Amino acid sequence: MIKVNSTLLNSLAEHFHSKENEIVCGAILGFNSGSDLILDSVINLENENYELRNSRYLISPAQYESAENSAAEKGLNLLGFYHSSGIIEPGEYDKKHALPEFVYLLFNCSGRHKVNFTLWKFNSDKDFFEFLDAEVFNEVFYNQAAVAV
Amino acid sequence: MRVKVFLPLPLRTLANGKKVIELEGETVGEVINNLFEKYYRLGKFIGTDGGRIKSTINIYLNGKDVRFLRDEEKIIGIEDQLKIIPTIAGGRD
Repeated sequence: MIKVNSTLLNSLAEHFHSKENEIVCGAILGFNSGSDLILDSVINLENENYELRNSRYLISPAQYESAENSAAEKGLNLLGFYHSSGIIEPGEYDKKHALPEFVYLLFNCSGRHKVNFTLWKFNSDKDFFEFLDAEVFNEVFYNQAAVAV
Repeated sequence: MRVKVFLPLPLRTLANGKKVIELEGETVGEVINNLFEKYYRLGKFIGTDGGRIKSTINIYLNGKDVRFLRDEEKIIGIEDQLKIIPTIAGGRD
């Protein structure tokens, strides 16, 4: 099961609203707990597609390497990438650029805080995106519960 | 000449999980061909039908993008390192 930290979704909403008319993108960090893949946090990255910023995104090798290094410094793994999209389902252009193993999160926002998202993994052997089920968890709630016990 | 080739996370699965692969080759092209021969799935994924590398896959020789190197600069020397780093892209069709 994939579990998404609710604070990660808050970060996505903030990033989304900071650039209303552009595609926002970034890296997803997390870890494998043994039974679950935990999507813990994100790193906001610059959309370097300067010609089509309202429809496409591009993350340069320099930003990619920086994200991989930042994840390692935090004791986390680089698990994939996110980007905002009107339709939260990958298209042909996404498929053309997809890498195996990574989780791809597509999202948009309804109002200030509600984040609509889907998760996908690219199967390079079969050349298609697999939809991934996910569950949102609240880190704050877990911490509070631990204190109460 | 023997050279270390560093793979990014998502491509390691196509090379038996290896992060670093040591390969023989006198030039960058030879090393990459040897990489593709040894790891067929990797070659199939990052190569194109025309025998080139996908535009979103970047190869760096000691930190320099090989696309911008002259042929004589693509000769492998002692302790050289090759690094493969992807460009991430997507969006509407």
